[in-house]
Amino acid sequence: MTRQSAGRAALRLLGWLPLYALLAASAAVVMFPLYMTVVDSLQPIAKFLTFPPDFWPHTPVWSNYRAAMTSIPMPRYMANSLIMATVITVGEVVTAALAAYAFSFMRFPFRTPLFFLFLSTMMVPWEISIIPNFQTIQRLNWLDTYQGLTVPFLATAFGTFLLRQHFMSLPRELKDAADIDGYGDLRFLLSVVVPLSRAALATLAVFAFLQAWNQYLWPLLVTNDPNMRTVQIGIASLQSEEVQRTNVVLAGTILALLPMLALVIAFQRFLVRGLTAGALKG
Amino acid sequence: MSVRFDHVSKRFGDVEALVDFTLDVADGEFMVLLGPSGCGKTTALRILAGLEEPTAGAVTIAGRDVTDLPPRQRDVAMVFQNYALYPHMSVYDNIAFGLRMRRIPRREIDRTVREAAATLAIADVLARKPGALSGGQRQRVALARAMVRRPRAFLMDEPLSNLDAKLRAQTRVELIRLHRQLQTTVVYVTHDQVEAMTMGHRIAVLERGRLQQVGEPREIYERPANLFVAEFIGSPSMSFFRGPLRQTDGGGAVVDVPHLPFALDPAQAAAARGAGWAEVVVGVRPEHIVLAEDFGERYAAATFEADIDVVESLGNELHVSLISQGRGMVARLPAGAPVAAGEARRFAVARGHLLLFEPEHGTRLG
Ligand SMILES: Nc1ncnc2c1ncn2[C@@H]1O[C@H](COP(=O)(O)OP(=O)(O)O)[C@@H](O)[C@H]1O
Ligand SMILES: [Mg+2]
Repeated sequence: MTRQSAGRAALRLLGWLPLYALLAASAAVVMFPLYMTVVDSLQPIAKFLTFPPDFWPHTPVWSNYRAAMTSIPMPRYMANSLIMATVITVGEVVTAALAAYAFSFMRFPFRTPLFFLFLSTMMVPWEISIIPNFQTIQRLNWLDTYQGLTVPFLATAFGTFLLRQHFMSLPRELKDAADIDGYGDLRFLLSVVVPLSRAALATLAVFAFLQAWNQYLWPLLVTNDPNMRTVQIGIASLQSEEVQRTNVVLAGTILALLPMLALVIAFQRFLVRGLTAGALKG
Repeated sequence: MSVRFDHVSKRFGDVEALVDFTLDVADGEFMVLLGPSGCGKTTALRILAGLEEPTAGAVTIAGRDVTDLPPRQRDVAMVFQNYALYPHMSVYDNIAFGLRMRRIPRREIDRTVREAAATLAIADVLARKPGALSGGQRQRVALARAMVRRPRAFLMDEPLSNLDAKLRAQTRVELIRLHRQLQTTVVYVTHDQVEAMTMGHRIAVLERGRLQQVGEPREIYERPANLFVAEFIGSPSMSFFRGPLRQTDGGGAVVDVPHLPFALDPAQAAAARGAGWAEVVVGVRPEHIVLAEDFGERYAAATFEADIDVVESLGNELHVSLISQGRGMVARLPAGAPVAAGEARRFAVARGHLLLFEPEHGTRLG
């Protein structure tokens, strides 16, 4: 009996093996370019693009990183990106929470059709609205300003959609109970809905931040002043600045990546929970 | 405070959830809304709370029309079927939540919360989250949350339905005690007739959004207004027999159910004659079917031979399913009555306990 079940457990483990092998292989495929970027960013230029390639930086050249920081105003670009991404993230989360609340807890005529109309704007590619948006910003005299960088992204259908789906899963009775307890909409949102939606809010915040941080085309369009440029544009200019030293460009790329990496690791707990159904038991 | 539904109707699209519902609940009364699932009980309660707007009619609390007031201005407290506790707050905060909106001093809130927790024996779990409580404890937290508000009326929507049988019986008694202590008006919704019979000062029976009868539990049981109430109340259910009404010599009358004629009392016979009904449905409660051998035939409205199909023993009594001439019925006999499945015995229906109904509309005679 125990022998048999032990045998069965071993068999089950064997059954898992191909799956784990596949997962490990996929992880390797995904991680390899990133790994090679790190390795190459630490290689001296002489070792760069040799064949066969070196898979380990035997004599790491940390000065590549210093060069990346100084060859362009990297700290300034980083600060700009940080300000832009933070403002966009806060704005998007706040507007999405308010709109999602209206679409899930308030009663008004045509609620569902309006929501789908709202959603349909998600189907319109951003590139289509980029020209009219640019003209608006220009007319407002917002070129080379933080407003110009952030305002067009402060409200999104995607964020509203994400939060609304989560809000809809909260028990209706909580709203009834709060109504009877005398709590208005804003207080109910703040003291019940938000605490119960931390995972969804964190997920949206991370997505919003990553997206904002990685923006390229829009900051390129609305900024000319080097003092207002963001880190992604910085990387591009680093590329033209350091044509000879691709390893410095790679070091700059890694630097631009670090804040996002930190963010994802910090919020990992929430992200995993946000993607797991039934996060709200009890 | 007194509560009144005044010709209240509610439609959800094509569904008539509540139809011309009128009900007066006196100050301090324990009123039970009873009916099968989907009959409109919750809808009535939600309209009273202000969570739902009636399609027509008005609701008054303490004599004041509150139909257009939002829930928070009605000053009622509600206990929900699945408790609706705030899952992220401690028990303490759940109970205090409603008080914090009322500009009550913190110390006063603290005293009130602890008092209620002590009354409901949940003082030791005040720091826990609802998720870490048993069903019975959650139920008490929901009650405490309602209690501390000192509302003008308690509205309760099947508050015991998620508890196991034993806890339910225990909490029933506690609710009765609590109500006696607080003397606050209660409107209590349930589909469980035992809860209704044991707790209600009066019971309002609903079916398909329509009020069928309002009355004290005994009155509802002994004098059900119609066939629906007669069948819904009482467990096991009443047995029903339909037959033509026939006059007998000497002013009597018989309901001529094939092979099972029921002799009516003179008064009932006269009333039936007066109503001019051609056919009648006779209703017999299980406790009024007895073994004929224990019973003088002249006290019987009917006697008949029946096969004993199933005997269920509840310890203190037996529920006996009978089949007579292809008709099923249930008798309730004392424990130890000499009956066994498969036997054929003679039974009698006690006189003076027949209920007569008009077959088409189901209204009761009398
Ligand atoms: N919000 C709603 N939308 C549509 N139909 C509803 C709604 N609430 C209740 N109903 C319908 O109204 C009827 C009465 O419901 P309810 O009052 O919940 O019954 P009960 O509480 O007696 O079980 C049911 O047929 C139900 O389907
Ligand atoms: Mg209900």
